[in-house]
Amino acid sequence: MGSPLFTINQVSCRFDDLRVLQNLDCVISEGEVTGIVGPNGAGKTTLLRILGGLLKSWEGELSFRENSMRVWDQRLFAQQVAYLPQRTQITFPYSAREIVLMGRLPHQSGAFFERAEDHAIAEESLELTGCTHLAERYFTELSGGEQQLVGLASALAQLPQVLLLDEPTAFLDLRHQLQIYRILRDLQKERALSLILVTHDLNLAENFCDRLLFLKDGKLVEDLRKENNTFALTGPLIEKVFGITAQKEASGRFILSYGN
Amino acid sequence: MTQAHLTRRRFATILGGAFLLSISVLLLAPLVGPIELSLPTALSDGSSLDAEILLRARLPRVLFAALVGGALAVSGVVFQAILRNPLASPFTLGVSGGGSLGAVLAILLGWEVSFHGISFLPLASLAGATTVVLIVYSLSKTQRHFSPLTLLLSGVVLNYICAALILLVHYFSNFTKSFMMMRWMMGALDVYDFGVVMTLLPFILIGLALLLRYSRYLNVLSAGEDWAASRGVQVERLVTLQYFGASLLTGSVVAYCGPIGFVGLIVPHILRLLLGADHRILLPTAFLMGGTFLVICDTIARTVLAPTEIPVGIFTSILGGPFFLWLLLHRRKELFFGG
Repeated sequence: MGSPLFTINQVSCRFDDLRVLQNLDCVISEGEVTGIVGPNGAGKTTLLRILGGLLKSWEGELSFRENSMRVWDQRLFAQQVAYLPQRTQITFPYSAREIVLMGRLPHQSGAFFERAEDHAIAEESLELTGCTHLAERYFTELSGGEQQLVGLASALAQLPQVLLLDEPTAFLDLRHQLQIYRILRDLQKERALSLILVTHDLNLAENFCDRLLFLKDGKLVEDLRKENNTFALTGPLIEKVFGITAQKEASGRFILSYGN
Repeated sequence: MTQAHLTRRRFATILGGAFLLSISVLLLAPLVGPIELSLPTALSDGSSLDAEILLRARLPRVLFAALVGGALAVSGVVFQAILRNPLASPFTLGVSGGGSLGAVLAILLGWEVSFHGISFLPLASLAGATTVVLIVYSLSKTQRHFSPLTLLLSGVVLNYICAALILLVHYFSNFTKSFMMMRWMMGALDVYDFGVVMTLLPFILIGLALLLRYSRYLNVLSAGEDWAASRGVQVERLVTLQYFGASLLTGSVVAYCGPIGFVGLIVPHILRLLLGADHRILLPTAFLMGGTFLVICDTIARTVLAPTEIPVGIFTSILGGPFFLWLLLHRRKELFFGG
């Protein structure tokens, strides 16, 4: 377990009368893959957006690397933390390379043109995600899977130490899903990247994450850490969080069903 | 279809080309008109009729048209970027509605006359535009989350309210005044000295400097608010700045020549088709090409049925529309409908 990355202390968030997060307490550590799981509407994305500094209307205390999120300079924060949404919808005709180069913005103070270094990093990010051949194509012309890979390349061009991912493969086919998780897995090892991932795909979360935070109705209901390469997932826990019936087979797999 | 990214060389080439093109148009346009002009006579004899026509009638007008067209095109680029909507124009958020309301009120009250060279009509128009800009801004600030979308909602509503009030003013006006109002609303570029050009210049330079300085940030903003924020941009500050900068350009231009349509919608579109979406090159090129486009339209508008002048706004649409369609069909089918 690494040193604390995010320290979440009694964090709540409401949209008008709707309480989206309630008194969350948790410490997320450096260098880990943390999965935030739970059903739709549990507050997963809200939590991720708060951690990414994209949502500011929360109460409580939250610090990133020992400094309160309220005092972090947005640009310095973006030099360390990158955010990849479910999908990126862009109206205007930017090329994939231009999209990736945008990731260099937090590292340039006021410069009008990108430096040679920025171009090199963008090139490397395109290579890492296997998008070199798409570089001069319009982003709007790419398929959903290609767009997500280019979006990932743009986030990687920020050279982040922390990457926040909001269901990054929700809209992708199997091949692109596996490709993205392979890239993330490799990067996490090579660059000691900390990953925080929102998903409702339990299978994926089980394989990919070191730790799982279960959210339901805006509350943290369970916090599991991987031991001996598995999570101590139980039928009752799954039933409680997702509101479905889960029966464990002898093989360790769960048979999931709706109702009885 | 591929798109080259911005380098120093690409920047210099495009901007240099646009500059040469607009300079040539600016030099040629004053020589065109219903009265044949001898350039040698005009330049050698300052008291000749040729010099009088060139310096008092045509040159100020051409420069005025260039400033107006440039300002509207830049403002259009910015509004489209912050609203992330290629159908937005400088007039979408009610700046021109407020400016027009101020102007028609001034006409109703008989303030269109000028005292000691100061005309009240542009001042009334500016006051109307400023009021609307401030109302739209404060309305969107009352929302839980200030965003371009809240600007869009309150702006569009204010625009409709202004349009209704303008009709009301028309209704209470006599025929002569109503006709004056209608002519003002069509937009006109008839200036007869450098005074208006010099008055307008500082507004436009300030607005332009404000917008150009942040053109790199405009790129990430035009890709999305979260996209910009997660790349270290303070979105609310940037949107506010761009909104006021673009409104300053539009409001001051509308005050002096009325709402000339289409330039601010079509020039940004055409340039994006040709150059891509990078605002660092888009903004300065829009200024040069917007000005050039309006100078060409105005030259045609004042000569084709001379001595009658056709309102220039009619020509911006008649010329710009088909050209845009042609470009669209030839170049960007796959961008709008594919992908």
